[in-house]
Formats: sequence, structure tokens, C-alpha cells
Amino acid sequence: MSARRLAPLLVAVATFAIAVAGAPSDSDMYWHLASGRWMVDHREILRSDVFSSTVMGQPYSVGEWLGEIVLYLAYAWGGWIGIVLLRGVLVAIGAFFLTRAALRSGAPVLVALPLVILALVLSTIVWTDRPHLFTLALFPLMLDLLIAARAGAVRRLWLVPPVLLVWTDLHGGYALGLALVALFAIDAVARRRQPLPFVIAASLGGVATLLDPASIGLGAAAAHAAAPPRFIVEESPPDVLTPAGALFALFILGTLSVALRAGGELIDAVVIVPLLYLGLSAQRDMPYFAFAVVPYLAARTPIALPLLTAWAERIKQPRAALPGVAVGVAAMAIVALAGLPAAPDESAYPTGALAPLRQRTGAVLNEYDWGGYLIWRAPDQPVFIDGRLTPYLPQVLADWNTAIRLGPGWRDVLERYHVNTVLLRPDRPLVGALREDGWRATEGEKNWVLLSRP
Amino acid sequence: MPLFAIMLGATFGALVSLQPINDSDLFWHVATGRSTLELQLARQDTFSWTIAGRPVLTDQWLGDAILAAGFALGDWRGVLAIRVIAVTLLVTVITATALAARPGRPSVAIAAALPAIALSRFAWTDRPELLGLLCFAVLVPLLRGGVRELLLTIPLLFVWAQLHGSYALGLVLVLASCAARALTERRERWRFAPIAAAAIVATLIGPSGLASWTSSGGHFLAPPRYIAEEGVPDTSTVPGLLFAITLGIVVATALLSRWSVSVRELALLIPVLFVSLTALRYTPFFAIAAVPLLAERLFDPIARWRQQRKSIVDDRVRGAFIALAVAALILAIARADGRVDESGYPRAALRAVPAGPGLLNRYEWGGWLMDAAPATPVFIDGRLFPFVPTVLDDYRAILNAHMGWEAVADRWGVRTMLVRPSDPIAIRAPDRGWRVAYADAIAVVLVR
Repeated sequence: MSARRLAPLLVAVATFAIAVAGAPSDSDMYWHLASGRWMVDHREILRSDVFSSTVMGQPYSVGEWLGEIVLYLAYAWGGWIGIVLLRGVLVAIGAFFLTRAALRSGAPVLVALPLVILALVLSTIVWTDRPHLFTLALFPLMLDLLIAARAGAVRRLWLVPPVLLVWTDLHGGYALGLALVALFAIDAVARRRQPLPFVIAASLGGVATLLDPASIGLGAAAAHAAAPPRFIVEESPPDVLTPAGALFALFILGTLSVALRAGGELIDAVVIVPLLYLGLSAQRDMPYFAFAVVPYLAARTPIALPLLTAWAERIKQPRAALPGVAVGVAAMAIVALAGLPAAPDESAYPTGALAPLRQRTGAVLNEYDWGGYLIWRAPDQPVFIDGRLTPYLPQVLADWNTAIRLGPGWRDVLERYHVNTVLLRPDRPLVGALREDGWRATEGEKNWVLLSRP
Repeated sequence: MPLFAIMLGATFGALVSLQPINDSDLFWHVATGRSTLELQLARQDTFSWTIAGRPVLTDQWLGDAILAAGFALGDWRGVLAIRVIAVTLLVTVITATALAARPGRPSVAIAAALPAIALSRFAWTDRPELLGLLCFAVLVPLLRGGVRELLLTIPLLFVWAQLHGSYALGLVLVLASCAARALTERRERWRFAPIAAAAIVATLIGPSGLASWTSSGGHFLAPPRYIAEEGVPDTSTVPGLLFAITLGIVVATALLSRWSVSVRELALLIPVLFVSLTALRYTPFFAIAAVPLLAERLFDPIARWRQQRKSIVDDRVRGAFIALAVAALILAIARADGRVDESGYPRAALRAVPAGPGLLNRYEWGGWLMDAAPATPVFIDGRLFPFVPTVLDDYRAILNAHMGWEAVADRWGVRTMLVRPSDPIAIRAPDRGWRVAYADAIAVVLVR
């Protein structure tokens, strides 16, 4: 078997081995798990808040009910190892299809693979244990499917509606998949080459995303992309002076350089430009721009840099190289499976505060990104706020901000929500003010302080 | 210079005269420049009580001096006149560059220049930064020219290095252009090494010497993100959105074009794009650098109907139009509001602020206080780097009422605070015994 045919599998297995090395630690993972558990226990979709003291009973939906259930079932099956394995499998699926898409143009493996690896390195910023992982797997799958269909394998387009149907309930990123199908349909219509199958696939795909009323609507997904909540780090715009941002910038600079030297086609412009905008709009979307440009760069870099390509093609592959790489990748996977993390990394959370917190009465005001952790670890103590965000918009979030930043009326907020306990990072202005006002403090090791009303 | 470019420049120059004079950094630039005009280059701080007597940067001494000269000649209206002239020249140069890339196609030239004009709009402030942007606009056509034009970049860099720290980007581009030419013009590659060396030397001949590099490097490589204009381009803001659209247009144009650009063109565009991605204030650079590329490649929708006509503009008509443009600019400057717009400044609160050291003021009011209350030295102001890290950290600790803020205020001997009503310290300090000496919608004065 040739390196070209084996490459997707090898990249997928290697990526799996790397992806399962880290312990779960994401702050949103906990409330996704709690939501999944609630739905499995009650055998119904969670449609109103059951975790907070501030919006208890109010209707809301994050639209990822199937993703949350799958996440919880993985946990129920294998504990934290189940979560880690689910992450590894989904990331590996994404890596497999991204590599296939990059190699479809016939680019030399030595040109395509570095691009794939760089894109996967960038994608590590979203290798978090959330339903988002389903989009990380399904976006490259859809991209590869559409590139193949554009190249002539039109029958594969029948997969589009069922994939979108499932994707819609797994994660809000399905809108990206639908947009991708629509963009390929526009290209097919403009080129007048088999436009009907693409238009039908886009239309049926669009209908499929509307079938489940419990999913997040297209309007909500678009609104989220258009106005990301900037106070969440992953929703802030890319900073190219950070490692991930620099990699994203590298893809932008590379794309512009290759485009200026080697041009492109309409499909390249209609796919790359919107995803460039998306990547510029929020850090979490940077990998999708990189994924989208990898097939383009793999195809056009040989034209832009013919000397590099000639060099890559001249390199003679030793006969033992491919089996050697395969054995190495297999060994990586075995080592990774033998050392799967069996417990989450909770060093960033107020683990020591759980015991004293359980003895407190009244509402607790907590850090935003500790809310999910508290939902999972201290389920009897409703949270003030957590990473679900939407149920708290706009009033609760504004009040929370007023309180922790000592805005005008911060005392009123504490009174209005009957806050008797505060669990925050020590450097919050509110912590200093409450200490000065005589609230009793239980110190954390380094990263938290628990304050009780005197 | 094409008449069309001059007229467009004058139009925008006249329009910018309507913009109020209120930039928070203007005042310290004028104060510093005034000292330079008195032949005392401000090498030590004389405006604050926290770093009084310590060395400060002199890297923008000429830019500061020009603003101070404008003020000396015509009060704040003189400063406004500098803005009007600079914007007129900026838009003229940008449009002329577009027209040179696509001669005889003013509609395409406008389309190509529009993103650059729109994005640079956010830098049309009364600061040396605007003069730096003008230098960059001049540099772009020079880098696309021959060796003679490349030589002209050396005096440009010399002047630019005295005006504003953005010269560092210009130097990088000149060096990149020399390298690209040495690669592609192999027979005459020896020419470019002395040009590159002269460009480097030109940026070092000034009162700051090597220190001017450290200032620019600090801004480019580690922009202070807590200042809005030093933040990353954010697509949910108008300038950030405009930048994203501009970048999208350039990428789409490159993808759909059949022409391959030279290595020289890449050496101009790619470094500028990276710098523009680092901070919002640098986004106009990319839009300006991309003007020739867009002008050359943008689709001309009315090309089919265009008829070749002989130009009816002779020298007399041209002279008349230019005189008209100059008259319009003079009229615009004369009719503009020549006063400082103090609607965002704490003018009324000043009567509760005592003279002498001990005042903690908001960062963005520091420069204004130098002008409005010269007897009261500031805690901090927009010069930023002399205050980093100690003074800035302590300022933020007090302003945000962080744990231990009272000890910090005691250590500095802060007696009075001039802050916004929404600042945490304005809420917290009265709880801790500070007296509210004055309060309105803009400012609160707190006295110990």
C-alpha cells in the first residue's frame, strides 16, 4: 500500500494517540455532562434550568442535547477514560478526513502533510471535552465529501442530509456544515457543472437542520457567530502574538502568498473568504479556516513554489520508511492507550472549597468558569452563573459583572439574589471589599477564597 | 500628481475639519513639543509626580514639535490645520497610488482606495501617528518603483524616524524590498546592500538613537492590550469589521486573479499584513499597502462602455482647480470649531482638585490635565512606557479597588483621586472614609 493511501489512517492514529494524552479539564464539560445525565435519568430533553439559583425553572436551550447525551453515555460507560476515548476518536476522525481532503488534489505527500499537521496543531485549542468535538470531526468529513463530489463522486451527496440531521442535534456548529454545502452549490451553479445534485443536497440539508425543534436555530447560530460574547477567552478575536494566533496568522499569510503567486478558482474564494472572516471573529473558529485552506494550499503550493515541489518529489522514500512509520504510529497508540488519564485535572478549580461550601446556606455567587464544575461536583448547591451563558443573558450576567467588579449598586445585587456565600478568585475587587466589610473568609490554597456573610 | 487625487484629498481634508479636537493624547504631545520648540528637548519627565525627573522617550520629538508649532501659530485651530493638511495629503497620495497602478480608471482607483481611506479614518487624530501614516502612504509607491525611488526611501525614513515610531515598519519593508530585489535582480544585487545599510543608519540619526528602536519594538511585539487601539482587530467593531472586509477583498481578488505577483510585491504585502493583524491601530497599513494590488486587479464594470477621450484638463484648468481646492481647505479650517471639545473631560471637577502632587487621575485624562491644570502634576498619562510597570500596575490596583489598594495609595501618598463615577474605586473609597469633594456624570473627586 502506498504512503498516499495510508497517510490518512496514520495521521488519524497518531492524532488519536496525542489527543488522548491529556486529562479532561474543560470548565464547560461538567455542565454538559450534568445536562446529559439529567436527560438520560429523566428520559426527556432538558428544556428549563435546573442547576442555578438565579434562573431556576426558566426555559432555555443550548441545542446540543444529543451531543450532551453521547458525552454522558461515554462517561457512564468508561468513566473519565470514556470521555478521553471519545475525544480521541472524534479528533482522529477529523484528522483522517482532513488528510484525505488535502491529498485529493494529487499534491505530494511531503507538501500536504506538513499543512495538515499545522492545521491539527492549531485545532488543539478546541480539543476540549464538549459537543464542539463533533463539529471538529464532522467539518473535515463534510469538506472531504464535498471536494470528492465536486471532483465527480456526486452520489456521495446523498450523505449530506443525514449527516446534517445528526450534526444539528450534536452541536451548533452544524451551521458551518450547511454553509459549506451551500457554498459548493453556488460554485456548481456558477460553473454549470452538475448543479442539480448540489442544490438538492443543500436544500435537503437545510430542511434536515429544521426537523428538530430542540436544536439551536440557524438564526441563533448566526447571531452567535456575528456577535460572540467577548468576555469568554475562546470567543475573543485572535491574538497573533500568542502561539495559536501566530499559527492562524501563518495560514492567512500563506494563503495570501500562494493566492498572489498561483491564483485559485471560484470555489476557493467562496469557501476561504467567509471562513477567514469567521476565524477573525473568534479564536475558537480559527481551526475551521485552517481546515478549509489546507486542501487549497496543498493543491496550489506546488504551483506557487515549484522548486519546493520538485525537491519534495525528488526525495526517494527508503523502502522501510512506510512500515517504520506505521510501526511507530502503532506504538504511539499502544503507549497512549496504556496510559489513558483516569481522572480529570481539576487543579484550576476550587476543589478545597467543596466541603465548606456544602455546609453553607443561601445563594452562592461563583466565578463564571467554575459554575459547570460546581454543578457537577456540588449538585446540591445551585450556582449563580455558569458557562451555559444564554439563560443568564442579559440581566444575570450584568448583575454578576456589577457585583464582582464593584460597579454601582453591587450591594443591591447581593441583597436581591440573597447571596450569603461568595466563591471567587482572590484578586476580584469584590473579595477585597467583602473582607473589609467583615465577611468571614476561608482561604484556598492559591486560587480561590470562600466568603460568608457575617 | 493627478488632479482627481488632489480634489479627492481636498474633499476629505475639508470633511475632517468637522471632527472635534478631543484626542486624549494630543495634549501631552503639544506639551512635549512646546518644550522642544524652546530648544529644550524633553529627555526627563516634568509633567508627573510619579516619575518626575526620570528619562522619557524622545522618539516622536519632531511630530510633537510640529503639533506644538501648529498650536503656537494658531492655537488649537493651528493643530486642526495640521490634521486637515495631513489628511488631504494622505488621501491624495493613496488615490494617486491607485491611479498610477490603473491609469485612466478613476472609478476603479476609488474602489481600490476606499478601504484604505475608510480604515485610515480611525487614525485621523491630532497625533504624530497621522504623520507616520502619511509617510507610509508615500513609501508604498516608492517601494514599487525603481532603484531611484528606493534611494528616496532613505531620506523618508530619516524624517519618519523623528516623527513617529511606525517608521520601524517602513524600515522592515525597505530591508525586505532590498532582499527581494537582491534575489531577483542577481546581476545588480550589490546595489542593495548599501541601500539597506543606509536605511538602517538613517533611522538611528536622531536624538533617541537606538532607543527609538526599543520604543517601536515594544509597540509592535508587545502591544499594551488594555489600550483600545492596541487591542486585536475585533470584527464586532466598525474598524475591525472594515479590516476583515478589506482582507477578504484582497484574498478574493488574489484568488480570482490570473496574474502572479512578483516577490517584491510579496515582500511588501506579507509583512504589513502580519503587523496589521497584531493590533487594531496597524490595520490601515495593510489597506494602504494593498491599494496598488487592488487597483491593478479589480474588475472594471464600465470598461465596455468607456470611450477613450483626450483629456480636457490643461495646465490652466488644473491650476484653477488646485487653487479652488486650497481655498476650500482654508475656508474649512477658518470655519471649523477651533476649540477643544471638552465634553468627555472633567473640566467642572477641576475646582475641587488641589494644586501640587498627590493626585491620582484616570489614564486618559493625564494629557489633558497637563494643559488644563498645569499646577497639578499627573499620576499617569498616555505616554505609557515611562509608567510601565510599577506606576501602571499601582494605578490599576487603586482604580479597580484591588485587594490592598489602600496600602498602595498610602505608599504613593495619594491625597486626591479624579476618576469616573463607574470606576470601582469611586464606589469603594467613600466606604473607606474618603470624602466625595465633587461628583457629576463625568467625574468624581475623592479627597482623603
